[in-house]
Amino acid sequence: MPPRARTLSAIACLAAFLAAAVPVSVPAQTQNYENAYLVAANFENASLQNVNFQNANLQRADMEGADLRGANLRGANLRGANLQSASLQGANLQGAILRSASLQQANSQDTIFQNANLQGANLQSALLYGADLRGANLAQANLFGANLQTANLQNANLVDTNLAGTNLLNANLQGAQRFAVRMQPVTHVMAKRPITATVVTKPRAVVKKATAKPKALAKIQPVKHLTVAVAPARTPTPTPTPIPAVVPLPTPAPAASPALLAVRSAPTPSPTPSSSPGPTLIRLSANRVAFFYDRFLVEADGNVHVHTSDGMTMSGDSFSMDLKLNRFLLAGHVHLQNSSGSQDGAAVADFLEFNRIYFVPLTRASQSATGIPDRWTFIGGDFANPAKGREMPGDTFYFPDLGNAKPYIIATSAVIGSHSFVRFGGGRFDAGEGLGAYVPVPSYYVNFSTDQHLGDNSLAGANYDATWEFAGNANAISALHFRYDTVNKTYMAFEQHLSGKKAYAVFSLNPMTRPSKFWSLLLSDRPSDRTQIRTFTQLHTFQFGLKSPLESQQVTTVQATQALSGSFLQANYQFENFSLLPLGCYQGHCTVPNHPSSLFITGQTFDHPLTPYFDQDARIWAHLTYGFGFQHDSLGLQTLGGVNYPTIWQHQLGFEMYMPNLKFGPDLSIPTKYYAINASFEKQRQWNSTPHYIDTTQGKISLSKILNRQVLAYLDYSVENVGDIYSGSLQSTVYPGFTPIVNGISYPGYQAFHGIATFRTLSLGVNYSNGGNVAFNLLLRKHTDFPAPIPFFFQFAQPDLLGNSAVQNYLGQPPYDATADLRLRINPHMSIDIQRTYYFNYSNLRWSPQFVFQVLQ
Amino acid sequence: MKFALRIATAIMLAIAIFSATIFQASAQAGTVVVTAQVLDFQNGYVFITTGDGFRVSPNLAVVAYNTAKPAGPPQPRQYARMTFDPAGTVIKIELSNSKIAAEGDLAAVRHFAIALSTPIPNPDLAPRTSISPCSNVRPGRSVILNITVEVPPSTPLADTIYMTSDQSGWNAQAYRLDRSDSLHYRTQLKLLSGTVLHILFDRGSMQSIQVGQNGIEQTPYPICIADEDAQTFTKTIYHWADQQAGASMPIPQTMPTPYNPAPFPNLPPQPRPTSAP
Repeated sequence: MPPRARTLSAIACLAAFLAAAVPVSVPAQTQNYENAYLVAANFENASLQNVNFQNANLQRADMEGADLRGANLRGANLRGANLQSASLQGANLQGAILRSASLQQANSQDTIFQNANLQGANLQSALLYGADLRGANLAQANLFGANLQTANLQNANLVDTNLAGTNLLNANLQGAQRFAVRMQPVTHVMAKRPITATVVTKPRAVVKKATAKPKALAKIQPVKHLTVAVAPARTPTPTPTPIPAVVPLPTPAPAASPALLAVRSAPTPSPTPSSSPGPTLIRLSANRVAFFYDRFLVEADGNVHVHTSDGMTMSGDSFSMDLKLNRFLLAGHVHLQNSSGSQDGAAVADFLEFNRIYFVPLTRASQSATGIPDRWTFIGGDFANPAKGREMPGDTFYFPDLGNAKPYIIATSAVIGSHSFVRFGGGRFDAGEGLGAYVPVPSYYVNFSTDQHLGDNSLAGANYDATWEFAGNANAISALHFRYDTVNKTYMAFEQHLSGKKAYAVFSLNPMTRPSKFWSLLLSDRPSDRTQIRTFTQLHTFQFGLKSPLESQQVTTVQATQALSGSFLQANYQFENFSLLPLGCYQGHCTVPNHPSSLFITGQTFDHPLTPYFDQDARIWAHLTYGFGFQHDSLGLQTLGGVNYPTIWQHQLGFEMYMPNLKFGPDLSIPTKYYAINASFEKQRQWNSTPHYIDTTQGKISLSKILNRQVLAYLDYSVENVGDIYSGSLQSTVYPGFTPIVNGISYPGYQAFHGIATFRTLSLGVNYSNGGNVAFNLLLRKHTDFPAPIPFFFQFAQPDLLGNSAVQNYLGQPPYDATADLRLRINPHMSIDIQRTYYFNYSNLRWSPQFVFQVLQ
Repeated sequence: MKFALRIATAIMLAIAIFSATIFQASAQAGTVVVTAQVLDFQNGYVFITTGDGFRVSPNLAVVAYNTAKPAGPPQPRQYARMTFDPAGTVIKIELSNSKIAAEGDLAAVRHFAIALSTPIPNPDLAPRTSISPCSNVRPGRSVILNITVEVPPSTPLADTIYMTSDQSGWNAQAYRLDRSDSLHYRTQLKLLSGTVLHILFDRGSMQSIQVGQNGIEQTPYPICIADEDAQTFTKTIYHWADQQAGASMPIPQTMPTPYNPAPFPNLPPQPRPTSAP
């Protein structure tokens, strides 16, 4: 079969696979999730039209943007679910628990919410036109801006509901309970029936003014057209909160003790997380400061002193801070002091996130010689006016249960930057990662911010890397790496990170203690949310210490990305100097004179569904890529027909389509009872200014099955066809057929190879995982390639240190390989991964040259 | 008369003895025992981690929980078994540095707590409209987190996918995922409920980290571990930063390779001298 026909045949086979798969998606249209356990399930943007979710548990499910038109959610538990922007038109939510669910901007037109529990639900801007909310519990629901036009709110509980800006035109509010409804300005209310029996009964009325009466909030006047009414803002009625049992007061309330004056920010009315420009700094010292890395807890005991960046000084016996929750507790003989006063007490808890300080003082101004305990809450840093007796959260003063856990760091002081870092001074850290092998260090820095750029590294992979971050703050880290890999063995590396709001930089020297050094600099700037510029510069030197280098090469890449509405453009420019030294040889290290450069501008569209009406997972998605650019090397890139080409212009066009997850089986709601198929197909052609083009076609299809909670298996088949097509007789000039003879054996089959290769791979994979402690993967592969592999003829593509191949398919890859990978979690901080491949004696190769061994932290 | 007086005295004595026995028994029956964790001990009060302070008796007995031998004053973090007399005064504290079996009901002694101000409700504690699964989570429970990601079809078949997070200082190779088919990778982690982490996925380095569908860097995904047996997290990765639209950023420490216009980098020259290695 000629190569081109072979290519077409492969494409046709794959197309047939896809075509055959399409009809299978039809049953997925009528999915049945009745009584299904779908807690935290991801239905983001899913097409769930007419799906039956009756009595399903959809707690915290992500249904953002999902199409739920006509879906049956009767009795479903949607507590905490995210239904933002979901289309619920005509859906039956009768009796559904939607407590705390977010229905923001959801289209709930004509939806049946009858008796649904929407307590606390966020219905902001929701389209509830004509929705049946009869008897629904909307207590504390946020209906700001919601369109309730013609909605039936008969007997609905609207206690403390935020109806600001709500359009209630023709809504039926008969019998609805509305106590202390928050009526913000710009409220459209046109009720068909009165809100309560005390309100004047007039059709199509508009609220002019809210009154102070609890049950008759609006004075209704008959009007013909909808007008904007302005109602004065009302103070929300405090939510009825259970009051604890009355505490016997031994003495009459005396005057308050010397108050601390306000030193923090202005009081905030509600405990919303503060967004301060910089982190609050907490300087801590104690006889023993311990850090538990797996729980991000800082625990200190004995002679504890705390200074906060806002001027507060505290002392006590024990300190506990949860870095993630951003709150700390100081207990035992607590003394608070700032420039204006002081106060003693038993414990203080500072919830930095919410600007709340909870304090148990011992008030000495009373008749009691010993002081009387009390409970004060400082709100928003207002120390002059504590809220006395105010109920506190239940776990305010709780210490974490540490059990027998060993701290990762033991020190005597720490500086904590809220939400960003903690830096310990004068201590020791557990180099054994949980084994208790403590190594003294002058300082230790731990970053826990959500800024991933502080973790952006410019180091190559290593089998083992122990990082000592010895200095840093909220925007910078200085680190030494102690590393091991099978090429460089043990060595050290240095890395410096800098990060700001929009830009970051990383500099590294790796390995620092070996002659072959790589000096890397990464820079990134994001001038807007749609534009990003990144550069990467690497200098390689071969030098002993900092003596004159014997080799020096450099590469720089500049990448600029611009997001468009349905696609993005990217420009990549790269230039290289294969030697920065004068031409010649230096102790056997000879220079290479080339200095190639390249520029490529590419565009790629977003993934678009080709089959939008299919189920989300069964849809076929596609995108296009296109681009143009050039490659240049003044010494020449390619010689063809006696002509040397120093510059080659290229342009390319490609497309990719894939189907992520088509499920079939007796029960699609239970993972062990269905099979999943996914497939992809991509085709790209690259035209060159030299007379040839390169076609790359790849198709993949895989079938997977979850066998039980721990074991999963998959079967995968892929075909890749690469054709380097020259015009006319040049094809046989560039790719002349010949019969290689290796070790006395001739391989005439290679004669047929004229620049078009086909790589077929059949894979069987099994993976086992027992909840994160042990994972085992086995991958068996069979390659059926053209040209067929010839032992000792082709160069073998060595995998890198971590077992990854730089190329997917290459000529002469072993026909069979089996890779086993075992990962063991040896303590809460560390896993060990061991991997090795067996090649079934191809080219005298049995096992991969070495085990791939990696410590994951 | 004298006899009658003697009889009356005897009866009164018997009543007195009986009453004393009864009252003593009822006094012992009136004691309340609870276990708690100590927050502070000072100025005649013992405070526990509920924030409540209780008056202690001048004759307070402080002993070790395990040995019943006299112990030092209670320290913060210590676990205590406290005995209250009927008046709500703590008369005995048994201390332990390790957790002790729960006993009694703290709510039952709440009314013994001393506080100067009258309790008032706290509007902060009213139910909120937050949809965060961590808004009302009970922390500390071991939860299995199942993570599944869908990778772009251009992901090389043999590549390894990792997860990086703020929990691991954004170490690009902190958590390795296992391939579950040609487009999906998964892993399982055991995390404590209440944990909030931010994650991204990469192919072994921050240069090969995922980017958004529009080619711009991806904001980390927040995950909150709720208190349930298992939690799932599923995401689609659209692109890798080092692998966009046919162009690629160099991976650190891979020597730059000269441009090779031929698509078969290891094509042997023709005809090739042959000999076994």
